[in-house]
Amino acid sequence: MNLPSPINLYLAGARGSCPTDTGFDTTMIKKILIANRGEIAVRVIRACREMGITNVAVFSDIDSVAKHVRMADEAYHIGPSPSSESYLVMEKIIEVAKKAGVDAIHPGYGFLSENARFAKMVMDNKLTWIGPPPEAIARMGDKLEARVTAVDSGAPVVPGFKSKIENVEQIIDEVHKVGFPILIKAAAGGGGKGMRIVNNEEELPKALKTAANEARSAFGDDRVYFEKYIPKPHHVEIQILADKFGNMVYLGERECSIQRRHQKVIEEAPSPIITPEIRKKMGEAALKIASACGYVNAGTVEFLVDDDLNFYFLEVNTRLQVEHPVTEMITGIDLVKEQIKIASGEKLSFKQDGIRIHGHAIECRIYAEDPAANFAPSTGTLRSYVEPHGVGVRVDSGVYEGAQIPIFYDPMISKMIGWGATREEAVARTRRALTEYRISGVCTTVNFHLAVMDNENFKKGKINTHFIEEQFPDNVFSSKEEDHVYKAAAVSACLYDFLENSKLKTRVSSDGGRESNWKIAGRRMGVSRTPEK
Amino acid sequence: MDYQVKIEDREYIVTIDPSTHPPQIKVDGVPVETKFSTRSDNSEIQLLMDNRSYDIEVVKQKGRQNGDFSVFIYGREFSLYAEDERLAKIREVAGLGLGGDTRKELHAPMPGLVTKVLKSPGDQVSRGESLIIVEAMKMENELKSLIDGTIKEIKVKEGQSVDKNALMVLFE
Repeated sequence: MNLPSPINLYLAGARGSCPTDTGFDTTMIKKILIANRGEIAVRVIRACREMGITNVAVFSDIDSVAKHVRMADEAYHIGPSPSSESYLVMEKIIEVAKKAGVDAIHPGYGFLSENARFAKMVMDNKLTWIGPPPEAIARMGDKLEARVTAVDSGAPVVPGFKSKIENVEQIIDEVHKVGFPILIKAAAGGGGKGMRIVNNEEELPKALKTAANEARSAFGDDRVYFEKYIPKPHHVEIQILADKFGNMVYLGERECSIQRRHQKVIEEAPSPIITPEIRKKMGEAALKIASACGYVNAGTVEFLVDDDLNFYFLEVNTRLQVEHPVTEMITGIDLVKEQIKIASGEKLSFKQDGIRIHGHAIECRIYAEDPAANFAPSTGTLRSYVEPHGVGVRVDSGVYEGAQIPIFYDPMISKMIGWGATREEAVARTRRALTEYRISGVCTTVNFHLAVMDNENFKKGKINTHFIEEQFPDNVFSSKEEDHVYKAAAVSACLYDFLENSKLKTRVSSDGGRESNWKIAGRRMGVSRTPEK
Repeated sequence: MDYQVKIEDREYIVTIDPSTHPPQIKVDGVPVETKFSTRSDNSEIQLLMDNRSYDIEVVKQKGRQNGDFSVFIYGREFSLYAEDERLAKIREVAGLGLGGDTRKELHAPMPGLVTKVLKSPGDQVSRGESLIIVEAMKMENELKSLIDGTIKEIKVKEGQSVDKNALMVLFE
């Protein structure tokens, strides 16, 4: 098959002009409900529109004028603003799906996307689930079971103990075999909960106990296991696609090492450290794990990679990832359309040897957060919102100028993806695009991304999961600008103040007739009064 | 009209002469050739300064003191302090240094619940050290010191709810 060239994919004009390139048979899926909000809902709406599929949005109270609602063909209100009363209420979403007469549900990422019970409920209601089978979601959602699956399929895992730890005696020999430091993790885990680094034998009993307690209170499941702790790993993940006929491909890797609070903020593809040989090995390992759990649709197999390029299975994300665009940019494959085609029962139209990696792509997640305050979330109204444009730049966002950044959901505003023929060009282009953003009204991470693009180690591709704390230990993210920029900033602030004040004066004098003389006198006194000691 | 401006580690004196139209501008006493046009409330400024072109947005920082501005140029947000003679006078009377000493204060970056106060008055802290933990949006946020200095006063207690921009710590 002829893959669309990535160049064509990112040049906006070329995108919508070839509606027949997918050969998609719209008799299967004519209408899709998107059980999500924000940029990912917008992303799915765009794919639907290119495929001639009617799309249905859902929204909570506060999202009634959100971008995904404004863009969708149809939109249904599903409840109050908190996600537990709207986007997470399965029965409500199914009810809307039936009322709207959709054929399929796309869950996006987050919310219900990795909920096996919801996937099953969708299917039980004779709707198509655009995602992996519920059994695969359930199996991979349990970290301990996922690890067993990986081991059984021959994939390398971080050395450690792969079943539930009952007591210290049971594991002590294994621990010594692996060597300290070790990492205790919760079987039901996520988000760093129930995780403990253990440096020596003395710390072990207490760490086991606290990890189990934390796991019980966070997930209602106190099963813990341990792994060798890899101090400064790279986070590298493989994108896979699998159809219902057993055909599977991997679409190269994404490097997602730049993280804060264990969450990714900058991703790129390909990884600056992975060689073609390792890529092939990792890709094949990922496919083996996927086959072992009967995987269908798009998925991601995450690995930790050490400096010697040893890779270890971490987990499987049974959904579309936030960072999927970097893979789209370097392969020319539209992952959301592929998801829909697979769900409707089509065969993959390309094979492994048809997949080419072209150039390099970097994604910056722009969050409404204050990097100087340890990335604390910031909420409010977008006073101004201007997105970057130009060659090699893609922006996926779910906001617009004047929109609210509500406190109820993830504070991501926008994703900016810069593509270049080489990594060097991709970095330069990403930096250029970042300078075209203008977002005011909330704190954002644009300054942070600029500082990273200027960082010498980042430019050389020397990144690992400890990058932010090592390179920016004092949380100061200021890229150095030339003198004249500071001068211009100074002049503009003064100009603004001066013009606003003279406007005030003009107004006072021009409607002097209507203004109370007491007010004017008071204002004058306020200005000229000398404070009393 | 003279303004004193502090931006990161730089200081400027910007003079705007209201008697000419358009107003003449000097930076540190040196005239600069400027052309500008503004939109809506003057916050969007298209500035040509010595023939360099800038597309700028100026925003008064809400909840902060007069003189605190955010300036957006080339995608970057600069925090700066600019005061005219009147503001300077008020500041001098209050016995404060230029820049409003904003870095001598730690404000709450978001509304939340103070779950831990890690330091006490009199403690020496260095830049980046955690001072207070605030729980907001189901996350624990460590508020770190922006400066090396000594804590003068802590204005919040554990278990207290704080509004955005609430003053939390004063430094000497």
